[in-house]
Amino acid sequence: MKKLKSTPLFLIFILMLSSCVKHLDFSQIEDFSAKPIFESSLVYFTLNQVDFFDLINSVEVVTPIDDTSGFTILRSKFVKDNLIETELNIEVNNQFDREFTVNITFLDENNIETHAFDPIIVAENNPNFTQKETITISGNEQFLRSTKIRVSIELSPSSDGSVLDPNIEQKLEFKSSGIFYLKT
Amino acid sequence: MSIKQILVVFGLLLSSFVYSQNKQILYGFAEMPNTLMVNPGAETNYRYHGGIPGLSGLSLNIGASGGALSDLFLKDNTTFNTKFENLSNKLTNRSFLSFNAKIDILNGGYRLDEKTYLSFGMYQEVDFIGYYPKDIVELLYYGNQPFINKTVHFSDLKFRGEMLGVIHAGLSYKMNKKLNVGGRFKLYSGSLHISSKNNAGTFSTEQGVNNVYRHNVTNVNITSNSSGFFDADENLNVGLKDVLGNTLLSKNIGVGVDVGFTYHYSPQIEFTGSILDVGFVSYSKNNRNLSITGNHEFDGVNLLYDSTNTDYWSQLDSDFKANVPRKTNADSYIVWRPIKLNGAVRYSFGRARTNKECYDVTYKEYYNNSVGLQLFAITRPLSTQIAATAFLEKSIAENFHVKFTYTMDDFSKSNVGVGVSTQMGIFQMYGMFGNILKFSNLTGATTASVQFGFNLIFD
Repeated sequence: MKKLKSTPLFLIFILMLSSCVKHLDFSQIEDFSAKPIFESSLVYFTLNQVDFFDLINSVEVVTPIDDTSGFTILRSKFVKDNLIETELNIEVNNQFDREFTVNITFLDENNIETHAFDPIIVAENNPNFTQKETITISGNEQFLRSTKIRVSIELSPSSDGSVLDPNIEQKLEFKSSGIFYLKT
Repeated sequence: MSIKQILVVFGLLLSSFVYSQNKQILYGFAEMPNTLMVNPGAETNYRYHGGIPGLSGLSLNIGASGGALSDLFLKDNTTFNTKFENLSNKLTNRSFLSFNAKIDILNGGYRLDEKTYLSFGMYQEVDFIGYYPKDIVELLYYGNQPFINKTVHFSDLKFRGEMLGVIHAGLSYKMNKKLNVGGRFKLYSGSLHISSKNNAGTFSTEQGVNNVYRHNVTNVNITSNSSGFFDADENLNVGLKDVLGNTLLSKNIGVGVDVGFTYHYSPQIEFTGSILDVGFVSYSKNNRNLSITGNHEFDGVNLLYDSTNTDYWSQLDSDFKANVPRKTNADSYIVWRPIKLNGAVRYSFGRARTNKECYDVTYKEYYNNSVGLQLFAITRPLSTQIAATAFLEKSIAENFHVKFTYTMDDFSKSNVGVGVSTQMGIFQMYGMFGNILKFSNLTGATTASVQFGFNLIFD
């Protein structure tokens, strides 16, 4: 039997390989941009009539009461570089026959305000109060320095001069969540 | 330089050296020395052989089940994001990407006597398989908002990768006219290893009671082992010199065996089988093992308005760390190599030519055609993968053999391959192409393979 030459073998290789990676464009990966949306519970609390009544002096507490929590999500470089918008949702069940004013403020490490929402008025006896507040990062870059969130509640005086009865239970339930829009 | 030499060099430079871990074309092909690597019981009809160092057996394979390069990178009018989303939709948590590369550093063999052939050598291997962690990727890409009330499964995280060197020696022994058996002993030297499998647990966000949402991390058990990636200070530190050096007798030692046989049921019917890489490697150098276990619920921060100045955030953090502790250690561990099984039946027909074996007085009938079926299986983290191949082998000339294969496996149902082996004097070479139907548009192929090898055979 005749021995065949191996030259055609390599010609075949070359011919086939020249056509094997056409029509690809790897630079497209630079256009890749993920836009994840993360939703998370934020702060919540339940206050009752005793929280707004000074039992010692038998008077209503007319000054705002507040509490502050750390909020360090924005310390992450990834979040700082890619956050484009934040939305805050609050849901309040106000069983008081009084209005409340809620002030939500973000602060930095030195307790300097980085963002304050306009006062939120919650009408009396409203079990399903909801409100949405949006912070667009572009134009509000100082918000990215926030490391704390402070929620302060102020009881509005009654319209008829009546005073809270510490023995009658009334509750204020506050829930909140944040939506974080990112874009890589 | 002659034209032939130029073409050899050109061909070597251009070829992508891609070859399937399922060496369906190589298996049982034309009594080449390299077939001893996939069946130590393969028959040999030469006196000795020497592989050209670095060139006797080069192979590299990439296979993707369910997706191809063109799914992501085709030059068309859709954005990369759309392509990515479409591909992710198509894939499941059982889709995988696998990659295997082998380079023969040395390969040689010597006939000890008329019945026994000794072969030996050293090769380096890189092997990787990763399953698509669909839930996790989509959580990162879309965020958790589209997944309220849906569960993200950490069990989707499943991958293993390894780089090692193998020193081996094997014997192919002719027990009688019908049966040839063989075995190979392997000494593994592990260089790099990383794996994470058997993970459990879920993450979910659901409507809450105390607050708007409750976020749950449930029954989490995530573990991973790695060796050769992190140094004693837990910093990522991979040096090329160390990595290559460790493929030759590192502290990560293991052993394994291959066994195989060839059985002539009749002059025209032959059965062969082999089991490869039954073995393990013990990794102990620069190990870093991670485990994350536990349960945690997060409702948000519960403000108390009690003037105690509670540091709520630190409290959250320490609660989480207490509930879902993350532990690392540098313990040694053992890794079993992926075991490969091959089995085949071959029917030979056509013109017979009787060849006197050069080294003894027996004669062997060689038919110039054969057909048959091969089965291949490999153990993988999720399940054993199986491929079935039908083949036709033809001797066009005394020293020119061609093999056509049709393979069905996880990657493709249209994988047609062709292999060519030829010998000119003592110079033997082979070239194999898998998935040739997709060759004109390799980027749309889900698996690709081409293989090269050069050996010197002394009859």
